[in-house]
Amino acid sequence: MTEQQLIQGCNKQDRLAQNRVYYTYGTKVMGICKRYMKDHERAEEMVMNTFLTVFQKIEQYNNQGSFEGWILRIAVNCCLMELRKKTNFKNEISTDDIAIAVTDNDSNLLDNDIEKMLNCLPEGARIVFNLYAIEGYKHAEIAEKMGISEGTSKSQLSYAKEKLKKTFFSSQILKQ
Amino acid sequence: MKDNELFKYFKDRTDMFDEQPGDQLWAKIEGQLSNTPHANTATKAALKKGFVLKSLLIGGVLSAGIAYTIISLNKTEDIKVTETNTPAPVVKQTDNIQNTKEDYIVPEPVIEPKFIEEPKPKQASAPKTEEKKTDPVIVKQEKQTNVAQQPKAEKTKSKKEQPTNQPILTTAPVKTATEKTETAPVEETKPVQIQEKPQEETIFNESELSKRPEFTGGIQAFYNLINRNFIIHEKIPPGKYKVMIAFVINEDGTLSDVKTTEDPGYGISTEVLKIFNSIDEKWTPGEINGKAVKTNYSLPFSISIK
Repeated sequence: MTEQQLIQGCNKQDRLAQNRVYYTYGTKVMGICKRYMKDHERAEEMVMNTFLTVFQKIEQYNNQGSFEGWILRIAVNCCLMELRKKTNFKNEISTDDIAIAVTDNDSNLLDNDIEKMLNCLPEGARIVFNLYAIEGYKHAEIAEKMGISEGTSKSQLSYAKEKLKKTFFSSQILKQ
Repeated sequence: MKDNELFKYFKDRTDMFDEQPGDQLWAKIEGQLSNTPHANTATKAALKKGFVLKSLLIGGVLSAGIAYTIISLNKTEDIKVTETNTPAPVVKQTDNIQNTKEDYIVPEPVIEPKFIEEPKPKQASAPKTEEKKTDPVIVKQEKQTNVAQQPKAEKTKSKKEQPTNQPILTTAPVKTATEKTETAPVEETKPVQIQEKPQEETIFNESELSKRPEFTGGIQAFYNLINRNFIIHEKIPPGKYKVMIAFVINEDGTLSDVKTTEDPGYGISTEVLKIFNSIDEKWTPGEINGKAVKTNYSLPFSISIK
């Protein structure tokens, strides 16, 4: 089935097409949800929410942008909706925190395991870093989506950057 | 290391998170899809909510507050109704202010049905100040007779008096009031305000008003006033607490019948009540067709302890 056929199938609420969409894009959706949510269970829940939204709002997809991009944006929004309810951005930053490095500072951790690296960030900083560095949102958008101020978004990002750099990249020179 | 290098490092590796979600999850999704064919609208609404700004959240909180106000107003009304139905025996419970307040309501309505016409006009015609003046006199008389007696005896006495003294109507309510002032002598002004309460039909809810009551300088000024005076005495664990205060704004802009309808504990409501009672600044009373009336009002206070 081509993407067009999949979309048409979804528009008719065809279970088979929906199933295909789930298996085609599920991997990336899961990746996003895992990046935002702390545990696997929550991530799966968000994957479910994402696809339910996708199938129920399929008529709103305008065929203009990429179908995958549309789905992934929904995934991000699903996670944010959930996180916004619970994340407390205020109590998380203290300068002391920055000084405390994660125990293992050597290269093992750097086995490209960004999952572990991101997990050492407090939730608020992780979300903002995800949104800004990976998804490419601007501070204004992040502020709007998360219901925080732009200033909070900026300070969370700089905290995340500092912590990641200090913890994982201080003794390493990246060969990029 | 530059920021964009850091970002690129992560961006290039996001696929590490990728993971094929399992069949079980699909089964769940399929179940939801077939179970709730009309879930469409619900999730749409939910999604929209997600995209809307914080301002909406605030709006939600406000409207919840308003809704709560309405509910609590209804509640207070309900309470009043039930109280009027219950006969007098409740009266002598404590010397706690709130209870004595409620106590006042009890005896009056019982009397009212018996002497339908007379007590009301008398009370209406007697302004606060006059009552204030008359009170002490009666207190003295009462003291002479009752000082040595047990409160219970007073009660039964006044009860007995009510039927026998039918012609001298006003004495019955006034006496019960003065009895109270003896038990709770601290609140000199309280009883006066409370005496007005029996005329419940003249207390309006906000929705009935043509002009809502206002605090001079706006409601924010009122909140600030409370805020400035708020002192925490007990150790309160960090968190958010909500206190709901209900009160009556009188025609002259004074407040009366202040009470908490939602109390988070830790002495918070006591403190807020204390501040309320110490406030001298007046409100602009609510109006109906240009005439100042008593208004039921309640305000939520949220206190966050860090």
